[in-house]
Amino acid sequence: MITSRRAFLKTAALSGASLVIGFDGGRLLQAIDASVAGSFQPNGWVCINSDGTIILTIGKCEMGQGVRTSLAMILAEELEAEWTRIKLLQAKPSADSDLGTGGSDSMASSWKPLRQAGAAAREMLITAAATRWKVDRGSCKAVDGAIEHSASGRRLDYGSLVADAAKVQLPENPPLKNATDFKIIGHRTARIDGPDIVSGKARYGVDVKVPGMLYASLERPPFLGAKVKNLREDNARAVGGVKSVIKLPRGIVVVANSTWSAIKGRTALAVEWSEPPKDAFDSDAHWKKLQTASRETGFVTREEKPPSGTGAITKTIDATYYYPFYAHAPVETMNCVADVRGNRCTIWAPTQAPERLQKQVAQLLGIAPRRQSSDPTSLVAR
Amino acid sequence: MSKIDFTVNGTRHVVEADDDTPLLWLIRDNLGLTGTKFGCGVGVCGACTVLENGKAVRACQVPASEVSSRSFVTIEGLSSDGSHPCQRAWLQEEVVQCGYCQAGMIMTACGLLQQYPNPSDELIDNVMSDSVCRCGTYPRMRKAIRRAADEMRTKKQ
Ligand code: FES
Ligand code: FES
Repeated sequence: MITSRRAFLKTAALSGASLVIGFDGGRLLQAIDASVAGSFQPNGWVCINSDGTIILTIGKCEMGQGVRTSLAMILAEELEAEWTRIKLLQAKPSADSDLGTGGSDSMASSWKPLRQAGAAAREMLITAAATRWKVDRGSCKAVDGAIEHSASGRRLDYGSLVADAAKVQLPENPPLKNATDFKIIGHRTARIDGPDIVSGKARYGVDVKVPGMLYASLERPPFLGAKVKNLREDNARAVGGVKSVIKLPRGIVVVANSTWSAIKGRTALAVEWSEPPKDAFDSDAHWKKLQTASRETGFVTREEKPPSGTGAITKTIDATYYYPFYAHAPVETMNCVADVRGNRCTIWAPTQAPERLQKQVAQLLGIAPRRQSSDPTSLVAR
Repeated sequence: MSKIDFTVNGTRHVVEADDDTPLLWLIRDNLGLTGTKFGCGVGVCGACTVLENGKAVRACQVPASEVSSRSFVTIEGLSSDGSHPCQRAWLQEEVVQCGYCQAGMIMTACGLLQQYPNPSDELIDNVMSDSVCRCGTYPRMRKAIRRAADEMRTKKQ
């Protein structure tokens, strides 16, 4: 298991057994040897090992949108690799990185860098093979995880070429494939994590266990600004397994030695909250407000002419869509595991914004978020 | 605290737990089998569904005091290699999205098929909509259940 970015890059580069290409925004970077490892700190990287495995480390969280599958597909397409051999690792957050996943942006923002990284690796592997065979690189082709020289019928797997490829100059503008040549992108593939999900092996935030860990259950106020009117703290403490009851500015936590004790303790609190103020947010009133507003004269935000050649209007659709004020409630309950030891804290949380979480926790505990061997947080996000 | 003596996926276990501890937490916390999920704890979401004699049971609703000498199957025990007709049909129809509800959904489907080997779409929808999939995979689940049903019936003949 790779424990830190620097340690990993050093091993990768020193052994010379991997080809590592990083991407940072629009920039491609290459780890050539140990001397550059220190300055090689991309947000994501592609690593091809001598055993042919391909690891893509990227800060995009899987939450059902299938991003682990689609990102692997993009990389495999340009790299001419079998996409099921690509393993995705979650990049760890660091002080100066932005690993947020949201706004339907994963594909849009990863599309170009991933294609470039894949294409660069492919071109370097071609150069390495051509040099070894002493043939024109134009006569070599990348096919299914290997370089082929059809004139002589020779073929070398990527794994056997990575040591040489790592010494090849990183191409600045590697040629990208034509969309008409795509074999993976735009074609039906199965979810990479499907088999794990249907067999109960997929691990979610709530499945993380640390030996000897305590469990907490949090009673939230029913509305912002609610005050506790009544509380049976003693009853909660009397529940077997309950360790403590902690009052927070917004909620009350029961800590226990098992999930069930924490849940029971929280129920035993029997919290009575203050009544909401008269002018509190109310869904019906909100809906009425929106309805009234929609009847007022507005302004045009966007207007588009139909493309030329569009026929006459034959059917008009008139519809009203109401988007209610809903809770963003996934079936997996909000959860998080924190392992605090000395000045080190590891967090596992299903979150879309790991670096924000890291910063806040670091601030709370008075420890500095660092990006190197003591990365304070890592995440399990799905 | 009482001694609870029960069987999960063919293995007998003896654990110490309070009488009111739901089976769900015996499975997840005591046995460490995390494939069975917690969603609501009050019997409405179906994420915790396991099988008992082929019938779907919501594990959050079975107290430890009633668990002894009973035998349950969780998603981990459905097959050793993901080859159960429902698991395969689920992959073929590409049902999963986030996947959190899916263990419970597959167990619910197994329970349905054991009782009704040839369920109508209406029955499938009725039974499956009793469990919550926040990603809305219901139409694909319906297809997968039909596929699994066909396969299970042809095998029997
Ligand atoms: S957790 Fe059992 S039905 Fe929701
Ligand atoms: S697949 Fe996400 S909740 Fe059902």
